Amino acid sequence: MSNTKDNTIVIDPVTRIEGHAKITIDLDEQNRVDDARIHVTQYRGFEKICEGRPYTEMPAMTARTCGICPVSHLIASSKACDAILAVRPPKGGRNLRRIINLAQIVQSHALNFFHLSSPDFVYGMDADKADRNIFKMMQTHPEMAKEGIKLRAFGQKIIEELGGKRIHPTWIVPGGVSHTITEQMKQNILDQIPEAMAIAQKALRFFKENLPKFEKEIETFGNYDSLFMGLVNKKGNLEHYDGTLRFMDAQGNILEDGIDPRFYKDYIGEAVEEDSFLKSPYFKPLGYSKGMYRVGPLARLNVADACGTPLADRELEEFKALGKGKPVSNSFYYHYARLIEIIYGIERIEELLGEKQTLDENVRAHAGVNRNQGVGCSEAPRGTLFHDYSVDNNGIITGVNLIIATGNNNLAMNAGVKQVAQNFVDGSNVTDGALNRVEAVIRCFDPCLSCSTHALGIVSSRIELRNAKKETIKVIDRR
Amino acid sequence: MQIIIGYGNELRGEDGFGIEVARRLRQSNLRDTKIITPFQLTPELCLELLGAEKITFIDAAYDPYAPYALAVPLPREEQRMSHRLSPHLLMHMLRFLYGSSCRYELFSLCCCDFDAIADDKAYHTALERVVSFITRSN
Repeated sequence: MSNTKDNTIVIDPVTRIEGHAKITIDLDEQNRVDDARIHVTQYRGFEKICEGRPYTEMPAMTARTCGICPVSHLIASSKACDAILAVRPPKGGRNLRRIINLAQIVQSHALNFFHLSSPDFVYGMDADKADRNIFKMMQTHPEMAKEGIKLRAFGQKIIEELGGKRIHPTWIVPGGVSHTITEQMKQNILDQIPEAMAIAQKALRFFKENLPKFEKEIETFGNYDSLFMGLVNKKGNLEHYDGTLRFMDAQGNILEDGIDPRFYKDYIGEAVEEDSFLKSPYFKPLGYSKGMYRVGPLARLNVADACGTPLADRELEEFKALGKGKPVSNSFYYHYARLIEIIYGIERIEELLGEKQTLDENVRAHAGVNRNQGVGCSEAPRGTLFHDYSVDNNGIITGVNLIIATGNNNLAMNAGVKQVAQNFVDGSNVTDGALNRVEAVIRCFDPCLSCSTHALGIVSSRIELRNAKKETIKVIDRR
Repeated sequence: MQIIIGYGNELRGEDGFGIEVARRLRQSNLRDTKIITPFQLTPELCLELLGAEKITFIDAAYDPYAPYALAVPLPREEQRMSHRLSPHLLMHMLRFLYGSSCRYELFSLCCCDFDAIADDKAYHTALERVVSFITRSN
C-alpha cells in the first residue's frame, strides 16, 4: 500500500521478503526524493530470553529464531558451545555440519531466486502488479516454478536425511552432531545431485541471458562503495562453516584478513537506530556509518580468491570480471552470486560425501564447561552469523549477543533503498513500478527480518508525531 | 489416497493443535491415509502431495473473538508469498504445476493463546471433534 501524505510515501508492508518491514520515502519541496529508509517493525528479544538457560539448550532455542534458516543458527550456536567446551568436533562431525549448512544455503537461495525474485526477472519491474507474482509464474513458466520446487526439495531433503526433520532439526549439538549417516543416506543424496546441478546451471544461464534487460537496475540497485565482509578458508577461498574473517574495501584492498571470529567485537560495532528494531553493525575502525559493509553471497564472492570447486570457479571468473578489477559493487548481482553459490554448494556437498571420514562413527566430542565465553561464527544464506555466549561455571547463560546476517546488511540496505528511490521515484507521479523497484532492491539482499530483530534492552522506543510540514509536535520517549 | 497435514508449532501453546490432531489420527489406523506433520507449509511439500485424492489441512489461527470455534476459512486469492505458504497457495501450486484435481478441506481452530493452552477443556473438546469427524468420514 502506498500514499503520498505530508510528502512522505510509505510502503507498508514490504512484500516477498520474510518478516515485516516498512519503508518511508521523504520528498523535498520539489517532490524529489530527499531520503528513504527501511524500518523493521518486528521485535523479538531472543538475547534476553536465553539468559538463565543452560548452554546445552542454546542450539535448539536459538534455532527457533527463524523457521527459514534454523540450520544456520544451529551451526553458529553449536560452534559457540564447542568453544565453551573447548573442543573441536571430529572430522566426520565437521563434514556433516558442513553438508547440512550447504544444503540450507542451496534451498534458501533457490526459494529466493525461483519463487520470490523470478517474477521481477521474467515480467520486468514495470509489469502489472497483478501479473508480477508466483501465480502468473505458475501459468506462464510452470517448468521454472517446478524446478525451483525440486531444487529446494533437494536441500530440504538433505536437511531431513541428516537432521531428522526439515525445520528445526536437533541433530547438530555441542561437540559435533548426534549421530553419523548411513551409506544409504549418502547414496540417496548423491542420486539427486545430477538433477539439482542441471537445474542450477539452467537458472544461471537464464539469469545471465536476461541481464541486458536490467541495465538501469544494474546501474542503480544498491550500486555504491561499501566494504565487504565474509569468511574465507586458509587458502583465501569461499568458506561457509569455518575459517577467518576478511574485510575488503570497494577498491578491492584487503583491510583486515585472518581475523579469528572470536575477536569480532574489535572490528564490528553495533549501532542502534531509533526508527528500526534492526541493529546497524559497522566496521569499527572506520566508525559509524563510514564503516558500512555488505555480507552475503555478493560479499562472499568478492572477498574470496576462488570457490575451490571446478564449475563454481568457472562462473566466479566471469562474475569477478564484472567488477573490472574491483569488487562487484552492484547489489542487483546478489542474485547472480546466489546462483553461483548454489552451484558451489552442490559441488561441495558431493565432494564432502566422497570423503571417507564423513561416514566415521566418531562424530561428536564430549566435555564439560571449560571456558566462560564462546563465539560461533558461520556463513548463513544471507551472510555472516555470530553467536556469542557467556556462561557461569555451571554452564548457565549469563549473556548473549547475536549478530544476524541480515543485520550486517542493514546500513547497506538503507543505502540501496535511498539510491533506488532517488533514481526511480518521482514524487509528483509515483508509479507502482517505481515502488516495486524500491522493494526489489531489498529483495536483492534476501533479508530475513524475523531472524534479525532479536535485540532487547538498548533499543529505544520513541514515537514522534509530526504535522503536515513535518514539524515534530510531540515526542513520546519510552527509554 | 487421502493425505492429512497437521501443522504448527508445538512449543507455541494452541498453535500445536494440528500436530496433536495428526498424532491422534495416527493411532486410528485410517484406511489409505498418509499423515504428515510439518512445522509450516513450504513449496516442496507439493512433491509429497502428488497422487492424493483428498488433502485435509489442520491448523490453528489466532482469533480471540471466537475461541475454540472450528472455522473453515473461505479460499481467497493469495498473492503474497514468503518462505511459507497458505493451504490455498499450496493447492494452487498443485493444480497449476502438477495438474492435480484433488479435493481439500481445512480445519482451523480459532485460538486465543500461542503461549499456552488457555482453556484445556475447550481445546480438547475441539480436538476430539476433529479427530472424530475425520475418523468417521474415513
